[in-house]
Amino acid sequence: MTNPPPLCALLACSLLIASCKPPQDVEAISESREISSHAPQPHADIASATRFFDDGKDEEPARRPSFRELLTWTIPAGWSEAATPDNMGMRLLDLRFGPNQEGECYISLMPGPAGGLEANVNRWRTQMGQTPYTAEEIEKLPKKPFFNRDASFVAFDGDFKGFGATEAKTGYRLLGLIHSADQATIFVKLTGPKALVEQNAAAFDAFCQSIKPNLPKQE
Amino acid sequence: MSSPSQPPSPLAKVIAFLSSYGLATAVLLMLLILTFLGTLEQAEHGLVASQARYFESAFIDRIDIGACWRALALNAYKDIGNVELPLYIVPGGYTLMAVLFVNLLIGGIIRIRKSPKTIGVIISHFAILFMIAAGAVTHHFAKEGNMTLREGETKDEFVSFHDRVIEIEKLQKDPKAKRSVLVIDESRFRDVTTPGQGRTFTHESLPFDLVITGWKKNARPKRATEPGRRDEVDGYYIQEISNLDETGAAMADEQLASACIAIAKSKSGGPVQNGILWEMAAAPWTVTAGEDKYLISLTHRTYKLPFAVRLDHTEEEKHPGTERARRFSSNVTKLSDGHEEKRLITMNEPVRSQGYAVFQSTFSSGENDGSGGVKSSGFMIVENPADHWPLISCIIVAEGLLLHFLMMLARFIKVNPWSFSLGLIVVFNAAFALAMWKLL
Repeated sequence: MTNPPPLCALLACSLLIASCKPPQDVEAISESREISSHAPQPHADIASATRFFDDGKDEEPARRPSFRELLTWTIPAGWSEAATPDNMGMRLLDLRFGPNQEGECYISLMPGPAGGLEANVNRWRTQMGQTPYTAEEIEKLPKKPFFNRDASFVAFDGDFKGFGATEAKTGYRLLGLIHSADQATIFVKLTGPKALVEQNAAAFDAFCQSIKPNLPKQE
Repeated sequence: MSSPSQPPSPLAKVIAFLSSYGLATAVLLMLLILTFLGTLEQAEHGLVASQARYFESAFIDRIDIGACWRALALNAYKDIGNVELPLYIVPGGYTLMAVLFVNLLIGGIIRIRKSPKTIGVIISHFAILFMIAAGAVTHHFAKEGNMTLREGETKDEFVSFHDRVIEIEKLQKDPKAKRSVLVIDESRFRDVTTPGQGRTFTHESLPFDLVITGWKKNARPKRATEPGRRDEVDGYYIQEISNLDETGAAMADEQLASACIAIAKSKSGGPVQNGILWEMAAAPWTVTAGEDKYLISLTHRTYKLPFAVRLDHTEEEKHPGTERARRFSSNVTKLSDGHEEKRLITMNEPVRSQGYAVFQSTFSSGENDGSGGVKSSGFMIVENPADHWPLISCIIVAEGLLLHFLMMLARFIKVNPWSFSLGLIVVFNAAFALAMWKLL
């Protein structure tokens, strides 16, 4: 019997050498074909954007859900919408009041429980320079009717240092209403100098009561 | 033959080796391993890439151990990541089939017992050789591709599913002038993948040399929004994308969109022009050279048919009460040398003519593809000189083995083997032919 491995190796090596043809840096084009008379006439000078189905159009950004369409409200007399949008883009409705527009009130809506009542109340407490509430204190928070259900109401005095602010504003008061459901959590938050806030406390309550779901109108 | 006292000559040794059972066993074993590995790799690399690496190659350059591992779902126990085994002299399917062919041919001529008793085995043996030859003919000479026709449209060309080329066409000033293109096969530029690495293609009729660089198998041009990108060409760059679809499965080769950068360097010292060639581009890239314009595109290889096909009417039948297609059919007119011939093409019932088979493959109602409701049909077109050879070889193998079995049976029951075997084969074939005639 012949020993196969050396022969196999020889066969393999010879085939390998024969099949190897290193590519050249410059190669002549040797192939051509006739184009059918049925083929469409070509177009020249088509811009890259058109060739790549881009056409210079920017992709439309995904439509941000318009929460404003979900609710209706009545703005209290003397209050007005802020002229500039908030930096965070979180405010569904951003209102100002007071002689120098120093009072702020806004609605924000977040999906789901949004971290829970305790975390949100204590976040506001911290913004006012106050120590966080315990779970028991959270439980004892007063309730106000909101959306036909009870919402937790908070009112703190302190030095207000909002998100991103470098310095706290002294002598401020915060009023807040938090209504949480499985689907979403709605916040109404008012801040301003204490005297101004107290003057507008009734307006705040009326504003909160005016917030309702934007149900489709019955024909 | 050498006498017993003399050692065998080197030629006799080679012939003995090439016709040996040991070689046949080794080749079959390696084919089994290749089939196993190729099937596993197919899950991530796709059918065409696995076929090319394992079954159509002279040598296997590497084995993707990681892909095989994942295909066996062993990553559920241990994830080994991307592991590749580089190889250099391991024969691929093409080499092994060639060796098997030689082994069977020489073995059939030298080793097989040649007597009336073994006629069935000899017939089957050579029919297997015929089958291997059919595979080689198909591999080298078969063409298959696609032709899409809208109702009323006529074409006499079809495009390959897998073979890609760069085509360069000089724009004719006379719209009725005969048109031709220069063709560069993908095999000549698909290795220029590294940035900075390129290959120059030249032709005496072109006023420029074409440099191809940065070829990517599956990619899309993306608008360059960052200033100063080094790979930016005309405001775009080529972004490589995954060959896997959203389910993680390998996309079919024809679904991939290759792209590369083309650089036209004027032979007369004119400006250098850069462009991106993309397989899915809506139009070719235009190179201007003096008064002339040249259209350059990366596209699938186009084949010419010896006849033209006009789609007169196409129809889709659905299963009652469902959206599931039951049957597509196309009424076409075959146009050849001024003659018109009406033909009907339906699923599984192709039209065959002049060595080509035209199969109905897809249908579109035109409602969702931007064609304004004009119906269209997709036809798969196959030209394979060995189209029926595997069927013929299978029938011959079956007839040979049947003959062998019947002759053995005749000897066992002590009747005339020839009259018994041939008589029964005639009966079997007649019954088979009758059944096929009734079925088809």
